[in-house]
Amino acid sequence: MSKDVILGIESSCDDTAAAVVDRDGNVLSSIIASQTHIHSRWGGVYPEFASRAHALTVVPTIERALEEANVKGPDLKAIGVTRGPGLIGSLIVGVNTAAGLGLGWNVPVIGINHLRGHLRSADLVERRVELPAIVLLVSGGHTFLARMESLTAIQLLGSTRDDSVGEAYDKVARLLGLGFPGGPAVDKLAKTGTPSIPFPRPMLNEGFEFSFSGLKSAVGRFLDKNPDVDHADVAASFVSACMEIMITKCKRALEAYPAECLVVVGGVAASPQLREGTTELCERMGVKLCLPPLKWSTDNAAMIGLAAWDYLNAGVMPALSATASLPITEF
Amino acid sequence: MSCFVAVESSSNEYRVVIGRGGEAIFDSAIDDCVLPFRTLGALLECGLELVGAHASEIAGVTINIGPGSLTFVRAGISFVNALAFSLKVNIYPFNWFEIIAAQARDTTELPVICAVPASNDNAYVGLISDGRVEIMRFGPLHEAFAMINSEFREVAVAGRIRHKLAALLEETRVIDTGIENPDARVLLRLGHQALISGERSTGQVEALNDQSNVFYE
Ligand SMILES: [Zn+2]
Repeated sequence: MSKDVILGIESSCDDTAAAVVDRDGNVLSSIIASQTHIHSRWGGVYPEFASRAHALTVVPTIERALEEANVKGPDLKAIGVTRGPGLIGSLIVGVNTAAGLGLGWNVPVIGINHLRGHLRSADLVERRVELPAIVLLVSGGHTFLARMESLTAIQLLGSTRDDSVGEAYDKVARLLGLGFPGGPAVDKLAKTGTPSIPFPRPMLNEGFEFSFSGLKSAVGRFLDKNPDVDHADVAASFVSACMEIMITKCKRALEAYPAECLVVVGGVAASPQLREGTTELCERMGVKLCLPPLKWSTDNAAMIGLAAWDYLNAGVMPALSATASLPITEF
Repeated sequence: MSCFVAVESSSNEYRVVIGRGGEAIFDSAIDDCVLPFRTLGALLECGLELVGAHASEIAGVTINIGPGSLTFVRAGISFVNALAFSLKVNIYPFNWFEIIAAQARDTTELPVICAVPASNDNAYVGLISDGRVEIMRFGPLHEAFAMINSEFREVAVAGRIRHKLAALLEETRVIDTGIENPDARVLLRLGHQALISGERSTGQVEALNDQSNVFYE
C-alpha cells in the first residue's frame, strides 16, 4: 500500500546518504555513510575514491534507511535524488541507483538540486522557516545568499567568485596542521585565541557577492612570514574575518529585501561563531533566525527528500541526469 | 513471460539489450528509442515498453563490470545493483576481457591479446587463449603488455588500441580481429547461459579498477 513518504538519496560529494521523509518534514530515518576516513589523508575530497565508495555503500545505506523507517520500496510515494551540483562521478552513482530502484519498484524518481535541499534542511523535523526569507548557504562546496519568496521561487542575490568559505576553512586548517575536515577544528582553536591579525575582508563593502581566496592566501603569507605566531591567534583572526564578511552580507540583504527570517544552512552553519553572530544580527534587526539542528546542517538525504515533496507538489520533474554545475535558480 | 537484461557501458555509451530465451528482442543500439536523454533507466524503460514487458518480468541482469570508461561503468553498475536489489533478482557479471574472449571465439582460434586504455597512458592488457582469459594486467601499456606476452609466432589483437598492441608485437604475425568493444548481445548470451547454469550469480557487483586483485594475482 502506498505510504505518504519519500526516499531521499544524496551522493553529491563525500557522504552517501539515504533518508525517508514525510510531507511535513518528519524524518522516519536518516542514514549517512561518511567517507571522511577515506579522504582525510588527502586533506580534501578525492573524487575517484568518493565515487568508488558511493558505489559500494549506496544500496546497503538505502536498505538500512528503509528498514529503519519500516517502509517497503514499492510503497514509496517517490524517490528524490540529488542530480547536481557536485562531483560528477559521485552524482552518477546516486542518479543511476535511483533510476534502477524506481524502475524495479515502479515508483517515480525526481532529480533534486542539492542546493534546494540545503534550503529545505531548516524545515526538517519542525517547521521553522517563514517566508519570504533571506538564505545564507555556507558549506565546503558553496557560498551564496538567496531570497526565497516561496518554496519554489528562489532568487540568487550573490555567490562566491572563487572559493567557498568551507574551502577557505579547510585550507587554513591544513596550513595550521589541523587535518580534514577543517571547519570544527579551526572554530575550536579560534575560541582560544585573540583576533589580533588584520586579515583582509575581500568585497566586504560590495553587494552580495563573496570572495575568500584572497583571505585564504593572506593567512598563508602571514604564516610564512611569521612562523612563530600563535596559531590560535591566526585561527581567531581568520574566523573573525569570515564572520564579518558573512554577517555584513546578511545584514545588507535583510536591509534591502523584506524578510520574515534569515535561514542559515550548509556545513559552515555548524560554526558556533556563525550561530552567535547571526543570532545577534537577527535580534538587532527583529528578524527570526532559522537554523537547522547541527545534524541537518551538513549534507544529508532527509533534506533531499523534503525538497522532493516541493517538486512533487509543484509538478516539477527535471531530467534525471547528473549535472555537475547546477545553479540554485534551477530545479 | 520472463526476460533477461544486459547492460554494457564500458565504451562511453549506454547500451541495453533485452532477451527472451537467450534471444535478443530489444537492442538500444538498433531499436528506436526517441529520448531526450539516453540514460540507462530511460533506455530500459523504452525497451520494456517496445517489447510489451514489465520490469517485474525481469528474471536476471548481466553487466560488463569493466574495466573501461570509469564513469560509465560505474553508472551501469549502480543502475544494475539497484535494479537487481529492487526486483530481488540476481546479477551475472562478466568483465571486459571475458566478453571479448567470447566475441573472438567466433573470429579466430589464435591467442588474442587485447587492451583497454586507462588514464595517464596506462592500460589493462589481457591474454585470451582457447577462448578463455588467461591473464590480465594493469600498468603502463608496454609494461602490462610485457607481463602477458609470450613468444607467439602468430597472434590476434582486439580492443580500441589494438594498433598499439600490434606495434609492440614486432616479430610476430598479427591478425586484426576487428573487435573494438564488447558487444552487448554477446554479453546477453553469456549472461543467459550463466542464468541457466546458475553460475556466478550475485546480489551486488563492483567495477574492476586499477586496484582490483585480478590484475596482480
Ligand atoms: Zn551540500
